[in-house]
Amino acid sequence: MIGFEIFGMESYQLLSFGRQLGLSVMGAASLWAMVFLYLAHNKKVEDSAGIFLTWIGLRMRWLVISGGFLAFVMWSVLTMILPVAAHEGVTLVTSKESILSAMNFMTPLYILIVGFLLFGLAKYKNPYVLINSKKGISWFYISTFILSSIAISYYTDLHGLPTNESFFHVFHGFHSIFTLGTVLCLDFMFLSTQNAPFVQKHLFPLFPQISKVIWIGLSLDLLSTLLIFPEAALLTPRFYFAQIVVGVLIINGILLSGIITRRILKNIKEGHIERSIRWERFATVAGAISITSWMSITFVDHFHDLNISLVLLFGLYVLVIAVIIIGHEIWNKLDTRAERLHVNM
Amino acid sequence: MHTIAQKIFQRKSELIMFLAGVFILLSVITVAITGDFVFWKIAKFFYVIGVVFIIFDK
Repeated sequence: MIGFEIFGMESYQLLSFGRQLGLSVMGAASLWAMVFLYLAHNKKVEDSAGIFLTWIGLRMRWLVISGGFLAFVMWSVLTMILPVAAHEGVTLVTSKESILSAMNFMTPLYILIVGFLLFGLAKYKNPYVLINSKKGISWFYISTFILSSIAISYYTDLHGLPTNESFFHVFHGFHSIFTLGTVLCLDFMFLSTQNAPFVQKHLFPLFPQISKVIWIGLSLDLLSTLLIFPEAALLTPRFYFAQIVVGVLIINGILLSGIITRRILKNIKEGHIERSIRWERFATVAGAISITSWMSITFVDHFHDLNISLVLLFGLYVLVIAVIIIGHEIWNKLDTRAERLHVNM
Repeated sequence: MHTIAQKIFQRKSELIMFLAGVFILLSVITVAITGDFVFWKIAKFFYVIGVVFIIFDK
């Protein structure tokens, strides 16, 4: 068995984090693609919003496929090595044995997931097959959403556990689809359309509704931690880091989904391009903070024996935010696909 | 001050959630110094109320 340990982090925990990240992206992308395609189906033929919603809905299959494959690869390696999880720094430590048991129990489900992903990949030239339905309901996205929801919720053996602990684990696993996964999807949509204000005009009004789901997801995590509090609260640097990041996440999230989105929409509507760009810069910073925060708390919660100081944790946190902002700016300059869509319209 | 707050937070839910975030940050300090989770509980209370408001926001 190949493995390593650094700063109290073990290789199986890193694999577990990758599995949870992949499934959360797969589940959230399936959910939002399903919603967009349904909304597009119900638009009138002459309404161009339907075309843009279908475009972004179909584009999200790449998130489903990449997230799903990441989860599958991590699961494959995990069944040979092993995992754990929890958020907000309030943690129930699960044993290697119970996680291995859950991973083995879920084998048929992961095989089914990879089957759907391969089909999605095979149809990359004709993606409309994936949404072929009279009612605007995509069978592909429904299937991938259900499969990823089950896989992410059952990450440890629940047999014989007290009811509160079982609910903790299910909520704790599932909420990542509503939180981490949805935040990553939001950024994907933001990135995909940053050069296309005509698409943003149809997409951004949906953002407040999408953020409601993120807040509900965070509530699921809150409920799960209350079920096991206070016996699971350990005052370690990991706990303080997670608590501070959750505080930052809430403040940042309310500014991003509130005043920043409102100002961008207002400026797009009124045609103030320069002002819109200025507010989009705020959105870029807030988006980077949001993604890094969700990734960080999911990451640290997989490593219950993490022995990195609080200062170093925050140093890395700020560094990642800076890298994301720079990467975002580079992507923005290189990605011209949205502009081409505008030209072709 | 009142006007600035009104400009930033156009909805009650936004202000309540902002307070939830502030109380979580405060709780970190109080937990570290006294070991008391009182601000953490207040923050969770604000959070729950904030989510209820957000769900019913139009």
